[in-house]
Amino acid sequence: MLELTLNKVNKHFSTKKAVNGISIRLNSGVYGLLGANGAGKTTLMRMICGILNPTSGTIQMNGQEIDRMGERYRDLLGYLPQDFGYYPDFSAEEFLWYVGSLKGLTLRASKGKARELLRTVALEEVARKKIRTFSGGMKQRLGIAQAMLNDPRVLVLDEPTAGLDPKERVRFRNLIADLARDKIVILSTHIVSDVEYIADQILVMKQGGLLMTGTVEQLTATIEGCVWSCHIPPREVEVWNARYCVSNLRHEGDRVELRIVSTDKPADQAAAVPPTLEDFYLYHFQDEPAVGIGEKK
Amino acid sequence: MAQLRFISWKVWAVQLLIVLGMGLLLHNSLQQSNRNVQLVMLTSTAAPLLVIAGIQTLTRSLSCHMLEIELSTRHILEKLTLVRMSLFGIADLIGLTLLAVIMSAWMQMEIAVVLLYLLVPFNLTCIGCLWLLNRVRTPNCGYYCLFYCGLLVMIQMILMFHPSLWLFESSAIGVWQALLILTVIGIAFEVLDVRKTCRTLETAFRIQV
Repeated sequence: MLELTLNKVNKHFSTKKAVNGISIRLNSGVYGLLGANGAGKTTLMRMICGILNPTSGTIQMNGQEIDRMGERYRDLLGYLPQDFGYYPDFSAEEFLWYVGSLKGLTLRASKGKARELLRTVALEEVARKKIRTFSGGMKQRLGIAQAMLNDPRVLVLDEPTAGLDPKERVRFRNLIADLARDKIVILSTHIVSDVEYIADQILVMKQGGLLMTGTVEQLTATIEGCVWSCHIPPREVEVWNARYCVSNLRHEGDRVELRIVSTDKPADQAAAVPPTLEDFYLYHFQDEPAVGIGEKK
Repeated sequence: MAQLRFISWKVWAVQLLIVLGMGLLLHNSLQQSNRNVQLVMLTSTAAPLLVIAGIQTLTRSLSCHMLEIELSTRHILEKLTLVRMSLFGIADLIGLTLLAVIMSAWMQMEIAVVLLYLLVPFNLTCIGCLWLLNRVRTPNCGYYCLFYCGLLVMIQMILMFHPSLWLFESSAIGVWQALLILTVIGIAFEVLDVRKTCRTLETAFRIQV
């Protein structure tokens, strides 16, 4: 049984509080980190990976501080950073052999695992091609493969679906669902639908703190009665857009159907509709930078 | 040793070419009426050149944005950088020793003295590059190192054309020995700093905390 425990974890950069007193216990399963840009998701993930030290607080794996575990913890870890590069002169398979050597695998083991993972992420045919010739999506898939090389028990993926096309995203989601057994998978993404599909539990971060945690159903239930649908004439769209948080707009003949996220009923004819995770996101982050609902900034 | 296979063969080929090229240059120069000191200085330019050959590999974690991955694996960046530095250091020292043996044989100079003239510039190159590596934590670090190495080669060339300087008289050997000791100490300090620098992301990028 795996247990990753964060106890009052803080991270300050100069005067900025990037992560603010986060305490949580994570067991096997997929955890989705949701939050606007600058919410502290990447900083939190980096601390979980041990590449940033918390200013205060502790991170423990099965009761032992990860800092003290050192190599033993890193043996359990697979990490896909948000912004990462490659040695462009390496081919895909050479890159995986290289990361394998850093993860302490023998060359023989690296070769076997690399072959298997390249097949999994559909890069088998380009295994011997230089990475510099790869598209963004191919590089991202290779990044996912390197994170899985050592068959990690704790898999941390920062924006794993960035640059993937819809088909690749579906493939990735299935892959994670397959892998998640007996593992702690922590992933962040700007694409709300990805978190919705993949994550068992969602951790919502705002301004460095943990705003809420729960399943999609639990989170959306908290804004029940705050999402409305109403039909208005097209000429009024601009006014409504300025006044309310409009999560969707659809033309229906000579009327426009608006989906509005608001605590108050926006109009008499407005009808409450079941909220989605996207509505939940807008409800809590409508004042934050306008990125993240459907695509990466 | 597993890291050996991940250093491009081109890097080793360039290092070999530098040693062979210097040997050839030395051989040709011996036919002319150059003074020994001039030839020693000419050959000592091999030291920064050898460092240049490996510097891009040493700094490529930064320039290729691989830091985060290399900090999260079992053998972290600290170990990786030390291994890379050791591999290049050993290769460079083999190359310089080879040149020293050739020079000593051809010029009837004491091998220890020749080694002294080769190792001091080599150590100075290493200190400068390590200093830059520890303080300039940007993807351009490798280029700054190249610039520094180029500067050293230029100084050596200037010295080569002024062989009458007291620096090359036998009475100055003590100064060279002192320089060798000081530079070795300097390298040791910088290597310790490399270890600290390569431990976490904030030290690797010198993030203000």
